[in-house]
Amino acid sequence: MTNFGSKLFSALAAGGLSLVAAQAQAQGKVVLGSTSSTTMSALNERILPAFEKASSIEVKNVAGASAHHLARLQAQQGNQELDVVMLDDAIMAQAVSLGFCADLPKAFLDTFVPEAVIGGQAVGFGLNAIGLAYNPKVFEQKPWSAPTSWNDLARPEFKNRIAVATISNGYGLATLAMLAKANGGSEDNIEPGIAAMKKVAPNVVAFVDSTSKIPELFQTGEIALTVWNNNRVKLLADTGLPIEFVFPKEGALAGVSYLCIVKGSKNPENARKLIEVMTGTEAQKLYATAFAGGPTLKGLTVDDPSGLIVDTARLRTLVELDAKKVQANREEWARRWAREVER
Amino acid sequence: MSLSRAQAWPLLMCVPAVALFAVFFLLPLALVMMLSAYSFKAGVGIVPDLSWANYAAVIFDGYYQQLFFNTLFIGVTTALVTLLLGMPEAYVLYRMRSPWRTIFLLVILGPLLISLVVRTLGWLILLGNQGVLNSALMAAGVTEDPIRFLYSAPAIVIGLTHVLLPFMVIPIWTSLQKQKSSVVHAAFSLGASRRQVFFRIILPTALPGILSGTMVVFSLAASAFATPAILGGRRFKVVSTAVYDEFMSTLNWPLGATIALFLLIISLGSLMLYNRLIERRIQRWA
Amino acid sequence: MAFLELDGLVKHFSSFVAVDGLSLSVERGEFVSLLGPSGCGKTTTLHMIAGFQEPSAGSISVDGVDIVDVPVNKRDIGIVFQNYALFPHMTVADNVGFGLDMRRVPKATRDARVRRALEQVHLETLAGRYPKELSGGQQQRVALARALVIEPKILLLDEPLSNLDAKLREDMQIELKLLQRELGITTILVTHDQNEAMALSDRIAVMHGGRIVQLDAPYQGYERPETPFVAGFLGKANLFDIAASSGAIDWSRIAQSGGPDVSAALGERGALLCVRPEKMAFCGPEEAYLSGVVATRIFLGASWLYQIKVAQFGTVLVAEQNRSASDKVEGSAVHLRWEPGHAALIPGDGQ
Repeated sequence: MTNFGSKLFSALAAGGLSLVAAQAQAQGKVVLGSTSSTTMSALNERILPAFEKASSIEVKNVAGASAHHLARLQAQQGNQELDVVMLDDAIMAQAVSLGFCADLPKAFLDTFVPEAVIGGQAVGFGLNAIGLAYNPKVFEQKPWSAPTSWNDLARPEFKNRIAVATISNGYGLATLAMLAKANGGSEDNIEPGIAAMKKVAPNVVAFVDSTSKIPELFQTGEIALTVWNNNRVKLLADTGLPIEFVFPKEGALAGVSYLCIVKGSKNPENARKLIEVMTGTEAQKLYATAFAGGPTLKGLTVDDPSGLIVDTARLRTLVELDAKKVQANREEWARRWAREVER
Repeated sequence: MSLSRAQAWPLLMCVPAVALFAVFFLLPLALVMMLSAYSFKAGVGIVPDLSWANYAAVIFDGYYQQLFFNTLFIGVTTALVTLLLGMPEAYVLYRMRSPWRTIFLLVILGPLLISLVVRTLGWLILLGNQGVLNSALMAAGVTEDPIRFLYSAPAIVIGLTHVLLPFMVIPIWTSLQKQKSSVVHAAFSLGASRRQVFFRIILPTALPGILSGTMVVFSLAASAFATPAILGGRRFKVVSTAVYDEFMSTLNWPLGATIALFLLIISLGSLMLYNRLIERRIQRWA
Repeated sequence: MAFLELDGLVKHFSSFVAVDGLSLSVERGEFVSLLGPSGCGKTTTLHMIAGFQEPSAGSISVDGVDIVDVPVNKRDIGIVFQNYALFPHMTVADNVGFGLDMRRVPKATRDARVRRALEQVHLETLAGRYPKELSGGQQQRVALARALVIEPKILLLDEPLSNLDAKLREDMQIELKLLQRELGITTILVTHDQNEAMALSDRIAVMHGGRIVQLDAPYQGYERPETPFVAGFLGKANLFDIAASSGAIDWSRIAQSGGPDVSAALGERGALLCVRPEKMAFCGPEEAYLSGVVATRIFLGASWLYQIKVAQFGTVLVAEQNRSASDKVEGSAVHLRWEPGHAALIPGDGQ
C-alpha cells in the first residue's frame, strides 16, 4: 500500500474501531488490549492496580476479542494505539507472522518454558487446555451420559443445545482441527473435520463470534455443551454455575494465552514493565488460583486443588497444533466453514 | 475568470457542506474502491497489486450470490411487511383526533428512543429456544422440543420490521395528512364503500409516502448490521455481516471492500429502478 | 309532503348545540339556500342531509322515505365541496366517472355520460388532465360535473363558489342557476354570502343559533325581514327603534301617508322600523322625516353611498343611484324621507 494510502486507512480505521484517543503517548501511560472475561477479574482487581501503584504508570485496558485486536493492529499500522496485546495462540501466531509484535530481550524469553514462546516476540502468561464444557445438571436431568469425545458434539440428542465459536475465533478453529484429528485428519487434511462439523451443525444453536456470550447461554439453559478451555470453566464454576470441564479421550488441545509488545508502540519502556509484571511469578500464582492458569515460567510450580491446572508436564500430554500449517490453511478453512458448516 | 462578490458568496457558503461530504463520503468511497483492487495474502497482509480478482471472486462465487440474494430478500420482505403494517397504522393515526394522535405518534416514535441493540436483544429473549414464545408453546404442549425461530430470515425480518416501522408510518402519515378529509367524504357520497374508499382513494393518494417509506426501509434493511448480526447469527448471513467478517476476522480488507461496493451498487440500482417505476405513475398528479 | 323534509333536526356535540330543532320542507326541483354566519349550524345541517353526521334527534326524509339510517354511499346525494375535493390521482374524466364506476355502469354508457357531464360544464377538452393542472374555476366545474353525473336525487352545495375570485364567481352563479333549472334538480346551497344566496335561490332560509329564523323567497326576505338579524344579514338596513324615538320622528305623519301603522308598536319594546339605504331619499325640509349632516360620501360606480349623522339615531345609510355628480359634500345638512310603503315594521317582543 502506498504510504499516503496506508496512513489514511489507519486514520479512518482508528476512528471506526476505537473511541479511545491516541493519548497514551503521554508519560506514564500504557495501553493494553486484553481478551475479555477470563483474565479480567484477576487483572483488574489485583495485578493492574498493584502495577499502577508500584510504577505510577497508568494502564488503559481495552477489552475485546483476539480477532478484533488483530484487526485493530492492522488498521492502526504506523500509528499503533495499543502498546501490549493479549491474544489466543492461533491469533498471536498470525500477529507475529504479520510482523505486528516487537522483539523481546533474549534473557527475558529464556525465563519461559519453550512451549510458551512464539518466535522472539510473544510470551505465554498462562497454559490451558481446550476441551468440552457441559452442564452436569441438565445432563443428569435428561439423563444423558457425560461427553468424553470430540465426536460427542454430534450426538443427535444435543440438537439445538450446543454453542460453538465461529472459525475466526480460536475455539472455533480448535473445534474444527480437533474434529479433524479425532476422525483421522490433520492440519494438512481438514476434510474429516469439515465432514464431522456438518454433523455437529444441526446441534449448534448459535455460532458465536466471541465466547463472552457463552456464560449467558449456559446461565439461561439455552445450551448444555460447548467447546471451551479449562480457565473459563474454572472461573464460571467458581461463580456457582453448574459447569464441568472434560479432557476428551482423543486429547484436549494445548492452549496458551500470549502477550506481546506491539511493534511501533509509543511507550515501549512502560510496555516492557507491564509485560514483566503480567508474566511474573506473583501474577502467575494468582492466575492459578483465580482461573487454573498453568504456569509458563521455568521451574515455577503451583498448588492444584481443582485438578484442572495444565502445567508444563501435563501440557506435553495434550494435542498441539502445528502453528505454521494452521497459519497457511486458515483462510481456506474459514472459506469452507462459512460455506459448508454455517448454514 | 473572476467572480463578483455576489457570485462568490453562495459558493463560499457551500464549502463546509462540500468539504464534509468530500471528507466523510467521497474520500472513504475512493479509498474503498482503491482497496477493492488490491489483494490479500495470508501471512503477508494486503498487497497493493491492481487486479479484478476480487470482483471476479464475488461475481462468480455462488456463496456471495447467495449473500446478495439474502440481503435483497431481507430488504424487500422487510419493506413489504412494514408497508402492510405501516399503511393501516398510518391510516389509524391519520383518523385519530388530538390529543390521541399526539399520544400515539409518541408511541410509534418511542422505540426510536431506545437503543437498537437493546430492542434487538429483546427479540432474542422472546424468540430464543428457552425464550418466552418457546416456553409458552412447550407449556401448551404444542411442541416438545423448542422450535428454532432465531438465526433465520424470519427472525431478521421481525427484528427489522420492529425497528424500521416508524420510517414507514411517518412518510405515509404525512402523505395522508396532505389529503383533505372532504375527498373521503366525496368518495362516500359518490357511492363508494369503505373498502373502495380505502383502495381507490386513500391508498393511491398515499403513494408518494409509500414510495419514500419503502425506499428508506429497504435501504436501511439492506444495509442493517446489528439486527442481522444478532438475530441472524452466523447462520443467515447478509452482505453487511460478511463485510464485517472480512474486515474484522479474516482481515481480507480488499475482498470486504469489494463486497461493500457491490452492495452499494446493487442497492442504489434497485432503488433507482423502483423510483422510476413509481415516480412515473405519480409525477403528473403528486 | 315535500320532496325533502327536515323535521325537528337536532345535533349536539357534547354540550354544544349546533342545530337546535330545525324543520324545513323543500319541493322537488327547488333551490333553497341555508344562509348564515359561521357557527350558525348550516354546514352541520348539510352534513346531516349528506349523512356525514348523524342527527341527535329529528328526521330527514326524501320522497317520503326516512333516510337517517341510510349510509352515505346509498343516499344518492351529489355534493360539491368548498375546496372541490377532487381525487388528485385521477384525471378529470375519471373523477367524473368515479360515481358511475361505483354504480357499475357499463363502460360505454359511463363514457357517454361522463362526456355529456363534461360538456354541460364546458370542460370536454380537458378530460385527460389531472386536477392540479386545472384552474380553480375549472376544478369547481369538474366537482359539479362529478356530483351531477350520478343524477342524484338532491344536490348539496357547500360554499361552492367562495374560493373563486369575484368576477368568476358571478359567471359561475349564472351558469349554476341555468344548469340547475335545466336539470330540475332539488338543490340545497350552504353559504354565508347573501348575494350568492339571493342570486341563486328560490327560497332562502336565514339561520342563526342553530335555527331557521326566516324562510322566504329572496325578495320577500329582503323587503320584509321579520327580525333585526335577518334585516342586517340580508343586505344593509337602517333600523329605527320606534319606542325610543317617539319624540324624534312624527310617526303619525308617516302613518297618514300610508306607511305601516306603528301606533300599536309604539308601546312595544324593541319594535323596529327597517328602511333599506336605497329606499332613503333626499328631500326638502318640509317633507323630511329625518334631518342630519353628511359624515362620509363614497362613490361606488352604480351609486353613491352616504353615511349621515342623525341626532337621535346615530348613523343612517343612504344609497343614491348615480344619475349625476353628487352635490352633497361632507358636512352639508340634508333632509331624508322614504315612501311609506318601503318601510318594514319588525315587531318587538310584545311588551
